[in-house]
Amino acid sequence: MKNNIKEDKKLVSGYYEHPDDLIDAVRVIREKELPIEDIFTPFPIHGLDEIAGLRKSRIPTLGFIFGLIGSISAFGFMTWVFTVDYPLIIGGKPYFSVPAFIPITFEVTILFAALAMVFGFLIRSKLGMGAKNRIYDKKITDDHFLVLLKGDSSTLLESAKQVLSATGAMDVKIIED
Amino acid sequence: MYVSPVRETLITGNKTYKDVTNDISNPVEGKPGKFWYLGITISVIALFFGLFATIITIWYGIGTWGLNKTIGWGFSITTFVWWIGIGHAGTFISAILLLFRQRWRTSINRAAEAMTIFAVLCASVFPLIHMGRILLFFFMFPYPNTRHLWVNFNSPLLWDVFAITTYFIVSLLFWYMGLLPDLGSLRDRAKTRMRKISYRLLSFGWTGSMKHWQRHEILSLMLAGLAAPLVLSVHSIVSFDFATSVIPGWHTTIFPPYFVAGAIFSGFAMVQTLMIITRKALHLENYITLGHISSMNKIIILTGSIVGVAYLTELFMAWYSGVEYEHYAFINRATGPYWFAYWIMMTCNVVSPQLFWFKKIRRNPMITFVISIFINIGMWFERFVIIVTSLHRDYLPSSWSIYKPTIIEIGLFIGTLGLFFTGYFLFIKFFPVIAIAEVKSIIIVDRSKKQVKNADSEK
Repeated sequence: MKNNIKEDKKLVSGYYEHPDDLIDAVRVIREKELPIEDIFTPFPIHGLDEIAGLRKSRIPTLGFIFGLIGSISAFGFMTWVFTVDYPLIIGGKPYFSVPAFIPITFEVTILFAALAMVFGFLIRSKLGMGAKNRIYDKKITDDHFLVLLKGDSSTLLESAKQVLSATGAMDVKIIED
Repeated sequence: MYVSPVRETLITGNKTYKDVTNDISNPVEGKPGKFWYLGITISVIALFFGLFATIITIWYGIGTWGLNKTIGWGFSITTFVWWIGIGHAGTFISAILLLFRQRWRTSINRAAEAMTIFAVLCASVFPLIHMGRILLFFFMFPYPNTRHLWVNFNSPLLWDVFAITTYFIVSLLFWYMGLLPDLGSLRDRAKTRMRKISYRLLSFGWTGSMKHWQRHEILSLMLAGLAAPLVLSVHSIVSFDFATSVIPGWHTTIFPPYFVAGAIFSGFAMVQTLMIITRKALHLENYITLGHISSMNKIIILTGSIVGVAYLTELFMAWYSGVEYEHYAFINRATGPYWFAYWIMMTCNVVSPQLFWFKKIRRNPMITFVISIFINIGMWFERFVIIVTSLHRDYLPSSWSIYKPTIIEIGLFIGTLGLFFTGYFLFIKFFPVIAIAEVKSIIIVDRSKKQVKNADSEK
């Protein structure tokens, strides 16, 4: 049967002009279990990630791990310098003067965590100078809330189109990936 | 959606999402007005004056300054602390107010963060040139060297190096990550080839995908969580430069909280100065409303009062401690040769913000602007009082001395003002001065699109 033959991956797009319309539509799409490729919005919509079934981001874990690496390396380095490599009494403080090491340990912790999270975010999202991400609609950054559904069979594409139109999406069309 | 009957409208003028994009992008896309050209010309002249003073300083050494053996820190460290303090308001607005879910921050956080970056840049000039031999600046960093000696990790001056470097990097990352979506807006609106290419590069290929937004949101929250203690640590560490010494007037435990409150106080004054000009010049009265000005003034009263209490506590402690040096240091501040600096500080920092208790004054942009300038001046004199007045008469009367800044030092100060305002003027020309995406997330546009309401009001 023709419907079962795999075709090239195709996408169906349609946009809404209000975040509430979008959220209602995504609920319907999830109920019908249509595969969502992506949703594009001009600003973050709280709760959309849960409704659309996105997994939680692991950026905080990354920040924690690198923060820990930062604090251990800063504290360890200062300890090594002042107790092993070149012990020197300065200002009458002991070689291993823990309180004096705290500020730098703290700063390095934050620096490592922040750098790791920012680069983690950029790499994971494929963002960076000269990144060539496809812009599906130039008004996404203005006031269009665009939904992209994917489908590999024409029935799926048809039902995707139907759902989008039924929920009030505008400019519903099939685009080649 | 919940609509508060108590809070006033954050964004006035019944804006739709499209209006927000247009209103904030227009100043970036259009030709700048006369005001902008005038402003940047003056700033660049000041910047060149500062550049000249820097070259003289580096060429001839810091003997060109008015410092002497008794007073080793003068104008430059005063101005350094002043700039670092100003920077703090930007991080306070974007990080601490984000954690406290203060929605009014969205209209001012972008510009305030930009201000932070330029202020920290200005601040970092002073320790660098004050070293005398600027080419050896890398001695500050712990690197393996032929002398086998490391930097002194016990010294607050080295903590400063780490704190300010971290602060600058984290502020820059925070600011730029927040800018990505708005640079995407500018890219998608770009008409000319030059703008298309530059904003495509600058926006890092932002698409507005929900996956990007999800990570972006959590990243902002996490960076805010890190930046909040960071900003408190930076000025605490700056205050350690003084507090860990034995100079009367410096050697007090009150310094860290007192410096942090002072920093936020002076920073908000600078934000007011900039915002009141910006909203007028770029016609953003609907975004930066009287409500925003009033909210910032409330923070100014709070932090200004903390600073006032700190001044009085210092006086009390000087008397109560029974230490005659400490005692004399404070009598000398109020009645000695630098009495004028002390009384300028007292009037500008303690008296002038108290006017904001009156609602009429708090909501008046003109008066707020004038008071914000007074606070800027007052906070500069606070650092002058702490540094010069404490140093010029120490334990040994035979080494007492007087400090007068030379034209070179004044030039450096004016030069950093030039650097700061040049940076700010370029920023308002090429970047969206208000966070477009964040403002869109706090307005509620009615589904029928005919009537627009605001998240926090029913007005």
